[in-house]
Parts: sequence; C-alpha cells; structure tokens
Amino acid sequence: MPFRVEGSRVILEGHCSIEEAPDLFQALLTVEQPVFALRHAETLHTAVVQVLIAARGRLETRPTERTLAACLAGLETAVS
Amino acid sequence: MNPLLAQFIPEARDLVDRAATGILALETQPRDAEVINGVFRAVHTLKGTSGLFEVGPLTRLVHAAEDLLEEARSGGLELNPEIVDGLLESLDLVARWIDALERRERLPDEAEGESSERSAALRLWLKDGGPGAGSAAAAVRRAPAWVGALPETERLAAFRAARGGALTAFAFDPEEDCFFRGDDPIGMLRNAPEVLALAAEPNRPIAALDAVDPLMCWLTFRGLSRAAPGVVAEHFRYVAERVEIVEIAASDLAVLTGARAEGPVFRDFAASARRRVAAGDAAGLARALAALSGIAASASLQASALRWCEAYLETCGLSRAAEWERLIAAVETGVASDPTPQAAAPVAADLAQTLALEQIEAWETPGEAALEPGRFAAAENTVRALFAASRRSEAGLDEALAALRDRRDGELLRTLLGLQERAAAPAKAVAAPAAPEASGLPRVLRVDQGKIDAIMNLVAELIVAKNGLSYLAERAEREHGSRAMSREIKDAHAVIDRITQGLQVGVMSVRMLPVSHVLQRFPRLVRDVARTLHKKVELVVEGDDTEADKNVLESLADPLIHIVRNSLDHGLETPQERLAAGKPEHGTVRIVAHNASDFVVIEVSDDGRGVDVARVREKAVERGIVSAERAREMSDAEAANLVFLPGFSTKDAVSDLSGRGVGMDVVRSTVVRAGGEVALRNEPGKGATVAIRLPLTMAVTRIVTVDCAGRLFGIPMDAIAETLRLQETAIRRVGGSEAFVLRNAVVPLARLSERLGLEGGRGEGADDEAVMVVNIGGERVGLIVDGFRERMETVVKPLAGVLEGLAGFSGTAMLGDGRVLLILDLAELI
Repeated sequence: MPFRVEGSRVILEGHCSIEEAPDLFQALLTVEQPVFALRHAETLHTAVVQVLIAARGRLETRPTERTLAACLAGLETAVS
Repeated sequence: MNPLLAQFIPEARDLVDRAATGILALETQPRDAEVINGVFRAVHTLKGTSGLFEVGPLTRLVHAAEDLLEEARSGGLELNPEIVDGLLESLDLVARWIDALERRERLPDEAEGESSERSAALRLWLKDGGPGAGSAAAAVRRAPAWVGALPETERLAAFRAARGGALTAFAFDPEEDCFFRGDDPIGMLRNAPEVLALAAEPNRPIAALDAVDPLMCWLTFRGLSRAAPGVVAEHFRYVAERVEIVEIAASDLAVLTGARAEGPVFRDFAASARRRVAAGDAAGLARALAALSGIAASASLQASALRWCEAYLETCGLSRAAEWERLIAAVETGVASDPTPQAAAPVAADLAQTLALEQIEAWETPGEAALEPGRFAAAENTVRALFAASRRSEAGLDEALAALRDRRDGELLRTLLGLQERAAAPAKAVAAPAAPEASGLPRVLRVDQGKIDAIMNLVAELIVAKNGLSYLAERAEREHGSRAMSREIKDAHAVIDRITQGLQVGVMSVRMLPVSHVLQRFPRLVRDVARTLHKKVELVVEGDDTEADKNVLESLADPLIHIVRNSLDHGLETPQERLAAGKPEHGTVRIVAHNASDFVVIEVSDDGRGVDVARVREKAVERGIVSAERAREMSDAEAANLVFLPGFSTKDAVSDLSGRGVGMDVVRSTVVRAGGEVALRNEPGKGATVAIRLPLTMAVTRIVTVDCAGRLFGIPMDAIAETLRLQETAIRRVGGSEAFVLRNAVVPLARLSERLGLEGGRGEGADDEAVMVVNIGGERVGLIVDGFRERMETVVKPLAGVLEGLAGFSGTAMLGDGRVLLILDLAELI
C-alpha cells in the first residue's frame, strides 16, 4: 500500500497512482486534522494531490520535488 | 488498426478535402469570410485531432498552414496564387501522409524533413514568423494577467534564471474528466521542459472533504518555462486546447505587489537612486538597496519594488533605463505604474483619455535634455499599455515608437495616444478560438463500406434465392400436379419479392452518393492543368447533387479525369488562338450530371476547337484501325467516335498530360465494364461533348436468359432493343454475312451459336428464327438464338479465378435452381 494511516499521521510512499485516490479519500474522511508525511513519496498523481489539498491537512515537511512543492504550497506545515 | 486511428483517417481526408476546396474558392474570392472561416476550421480541427497520434510532422505542417490562414483571416495577408499553390501542395503532402498512415500506421520516414521544409516555406509568407512562432514582438508584449499573480518569490527566481531574457508563460486548465482519459496533469508538469516557476490553484472554492469527488480534476496550473514556446507547446500537444502559451519579456514578471508604506526615506532613496542609475554607479545603488531593504516592511509595495531592483541589478545591471525609472518611481510613491496588462486592463475609456492627455502635456513641456529618456519611456509605456488595454493590433507599433524617439514628434504621439483611428495597422480581430461544434451535430453514421457491401451481397443472395421460388412453383404444378400449391407458392413469392425490392432499394440508397463526391477534385485538376498549359479555363459544374451508387461513381472517376484532361489539352485552344478565332479568352469546360431513368449521365463539354474529323479518319486508316474505304463511308459523327477505338491517339507529340499511350479506348472499356456507354458529339470549331452513361447501380442487373444449342446464357436487359421472330425468307445474304430489314433499316445478323462456337443448335433450316435486336455501341445488331427464356434480376459476379480473361463473357450469375449462368459480353462477342 503506498499510503498508511498511523493516528493522525498519513504516510505516503513511493508512487501513488490514481487507484489510490478513492482509498486515500475514504481513509482521510475518518482522520481529523491529518498530518501528511511525504518524505518517502516519489510521484503523486494529481487526484492524490487534490485529495491532500481538499483534506486541509498539514505537511510534516515541505516536499523537495518542486512540482509537488508548488502544488502543495497552500498547505501549512505542522509544527513538530 | 487502432480504432481511434481508423476513425481519424477518413475524417482527416474529409477535412483535407474541405480545406482544399475552400482554398481554391479563396483564390477567386479572397475576402469571403465564410469560406475562409470554413477552411480555417477544417485545418484547425485537423491539427487538433492529429495531436492524438504520433504524427508530429503532420501536426506541425498543418499548424504552419493554420497560422498562414489565421493571418489571411485577420486580413493581414492576401492569398495570391503562389500562396494558394503552397497551401495546396502542403495539403497534398498531408493527404499522402494520411494514405501512408492507413497502410502502415505511421508516417513515411522522409515526413520529418518534408514537413520542416514545407512549414518553413509556408512561414516565409508570414510576417514576423506568425502567431505560433512566438518570436513576434506582439506576442512577447501581451503578458497575461496571471503572470503577475504568480508568487513573487517564484517570479523573482524565474527572472534571475532567465537573466532578463524572454520566457514562456503557460496556463494549464485540465478538463474535469481528464483522469478518466488517463491524464495526470501534475505528471505532465513534472516532465515539462525547463520549468522555472509553477503555481497550482483550485478553479473553484474547495468544498468540504466529504463533498469532494476524488476523481474529478479541479486544480489549474500556471507556470513559467525557459524553453521556447514551441518546445512548451510540443510538450502539451495532447492537451493543446486546454493550455495557453505566451512568450513574455522578463520585465513582465516585475509586477509589484503589496500595500503602500509611508515614509520620507523612500523619497530620499528615489532621488539618490536616479542619480546613481544615471551615473552608472551600480555598487552604490546596491548598497542603497541593501540598506533600505533592511528597513522597509517586507509586505509593502516598496519592498517589493526594492526586491525587483535587486534582481534587475543582478541580471542586467543599469542598462534598462525605462524599467529602472518605473521601479524607482514605485519606491518613491508607493504606487505601481505598471505597464503590464494586469494594470492596464481595467483602464476605462475616459481614464485612458486622461492618461493620454497627461502624457502629451508632459511631452510638450520643454525640459532638460537629461530627462528625455525617462520621459520617452513613460510615453512608450503609456502607449503600449493603451494598446494592450484596448486590444488593438500592435503591428507597426515598434516602428512608430522608434520614430517617436528619433523625431520627438508630438503629432505622432497624439495619434498613438488619443486619435488612435489613424494608428498603425487595421485593428486585428482578437483570434477567438474556433467555437466547439458540439451542438447540432449531424446525425450521421460513419459506416465501413465493407459492412454495407456485406448487406448488399446478402440482399443479392436473397434475390437469387427468391428466384428459386418460381422454379418451385413450376415444379409443384408440373411434377406434383398441384396447381393450388403452385399458386400459394407464387403468392409467397410475390410477398418476398416485394420485401426484397424494398430491402434492395434501401441498401442502394445507403450506397448512393452525390456525384460531387467525384467532381470535387476537378476544380483543382482544371486549375493545375490550365496553369501548366498556360491556358485560361473556367470550370462549370452543374447537377453535382445527382446521386449514384458509390461503386459506379468510383468507376467513373478515372475516365472523367481523362476526358477532362483531353478537353484541356486537345480541345481548348491557347488564349491567343481563341482570341484570333473570335472566342472569349477564357475557355469553358462544363461538367453536367443528371439522371435519366435508371442511368446517371455525365457530360463533359468544352468550347474548344472540337475534334478534327479529317485528321481522325486519316490517323485511323494510318494505324490500320479501319480500312480507307470504311473511313470514307463513315459519317462525321461516326468518324469522331473512332477516337474510342484501341490504339488511337491524334497528338503526334505525346504530351505530359493526356497522351500517355492510354487513350479514350481505356475510357470506353472502363465505362463499358461498369455497364455503361460513352459517346462523343462533335461540333468542329465550337467544341466537343463526351457523354458517359452509367447504370445508377451495378449491384443488381436485369437480364434475359436465352437458349442456345441447349444451354442458357444471360444477356443484360439494357442492351436489348427488342425481340422478334423472323421468317427464314426475310433474311438477306450480303456477301458472306446475313442481314434483315427492320423498319426500313438494314440490321446485320449474327448467330450466337456460331459466335460461341457451339454445335447442336437448331441451326438453319427452321421456318423462323428468334432474333434479339441488341444495341452495341449505338449500332443495332440482330442476334439469332434458339429461344427466349425468362427475365430475371440477378447479381452478376465478375469472372474470377480460371475464368478470368475468358473473352466474350462479362460475368456469371446464379440461377434459381442453382445452376450457373454465363452472362454474355455482346460488345466483345460481335
């Protein structure tokens, strides 16, 4: 599974394709104030990115890949 | 083949045809907006759909053609014959590539080279390289508002990376359902060439999470790239209609944001900065910038201006006086005097007027020479902003501004600013993208011809099977003695017959196409041939909505081309000859199509010199086609028709066009094979008319069966004039051959059994003979047979396999009782 939920922490890893988007969406419906851990995420499909934005979660760290960083620029970072 | 490609190919052909037809029409009426829009739409659609496939060279060439047409549409370019030639040649090339695509599902290897060569040729006609080339000054200038809305940090980074040069800005609004087509917009952006800045934003307020559809795309993207617009466009070619690509100048990025901050410190800075810019003191300016940046609140507009000053200093030093003045003025006043459309767009008409008046006033106030550059820059900015705001053409603007700088011409400035009517080029209509033609789609099915043919074949089989019923009725009566049963079968036969006929008519009508299907290529052919021969020709087409079966039309195409070429080459005279003969300089070739009962008739006539009958006689004798005696006996009309005989060609020099060794005989044999006939009417000195007559459909033929030496043969009904019984005594013997007199005309007689080399017929000696009078090439011949049998509708299949090449027969048909019937080819037999 390219993503897993540990409490409020949602960890995405590797390549998250469009197939993950509905599952991630369902999972996030049950997580309050999620924090996204994208350190090991490589490529995220647009649909997955949109779910992250719509869930209004916070980022553990800013992604290093610039396209993803630009797309998620609207999300706040979590103060750890 | 990929079904999408299979669909694309006929569509592309259709579009190419439509475009070519329109372009031809444009040559004569270059200002017809409807025609040019039609051509533009066809080419635009072709470009769009071709983007779905790996056919880059094709897409690029079509794009070049589109740009040229766009220029013509906006009135910036007059389509002269050379440009029309260029466009038509390009379309020919595209048509060839489409053929190649159909055969091998890819473009020929040389396509790449041909494409760039032709595209370059097309672009030569475009001023500034055209709207798509992106190098035009106008395209650089029109920076869209969203460029300024990108985060300032991104813009600053991009500005530095571009080192003050040109950049490509792109806006990408993916379609909502793009995920379902396998698109991943972010993936596409990740691989986009040399992206310097990128921002994503939702195209609507984001709903609460549980109301979001995770499979609908609502993010939109704006970005900047250092790659050329063409490269960026190539990257986004699959989503071209969702992407806006603009080449912008780096200075367009310097949109100042923030609130105005108060303080005398800014005014002091401005004064010193102006001095340092004028003196070229970059180091001093850098120090001043650093000092002030430390003080200014970073969210203020002044701080923003200072950050841009730093970026300018780093990348282009102090060279751009106008832009420096703008930034310094912004620091000084806390108001951005922004020349980009973002600021200029909301300029209302009266505000524009005020600005213009202020500029003129400033311009005309005498002042120090040192202030001139700044003043000019301000004027230039205002002019450009006004032009951009009112969306007027900027063609010629650069030259006008250069003149303004050189001459300091107040009148010119007035023109540019206020009295804009006189300004530069005609206002260019803002190119609205072709409206999607989604609504009101014609309810038309595109069906593979093979499927229709399969149904047609089944209908034909049904007709044959139906014929079997009448045999059955006959047997029921003869062999089983049941007249009642026979009658019932006949009733059933009548019902099936009626339904079959309805079915046949239905399928036929599906296959019916207007003659224009074949004729549409003629305007082009006539134009090209006339240009090669230096003749002036007008083509008139009448009745091109006449319908006929697709196969019939296709069999008509080649003969028609040949006939028209003949008219142009041999028939029509050169303009000098025509004038000398008292005719108008322009020759006319007329193609007229009409229906005559079950036939479609197409006549090609010209008003040229006509056929030289004496010369035809001479040539026919010389070539041994007819004897000298026979040639003398012939009427002029008959002699003119000698041109249809094999081996005939009157032009001594084989021309490039018609006389390729194949002549009118090929025309005739093609037409006859399709069940038609061809005749020539000649008026020496006034012109000639070739008339082709073809059956409306070739699928079902009505035949009469005849008995000969105990066998049955079929004769096409169309050939039969009448049938009669002839008393033995009425047969005259002339020389070695037989003839009889029919209504005061001598009709030659032929015995079918002799012609077929059959024995065992009734032969001579009977009291009377069954004679079938048939029409062969306009002449009547009496054919003696042993007896007439029934008439029937049947499907004549061409001779195939070992029977192929069998002389005297045109095909075979299946009889109701399963026997195979040979159909006679009378023209060949007699």
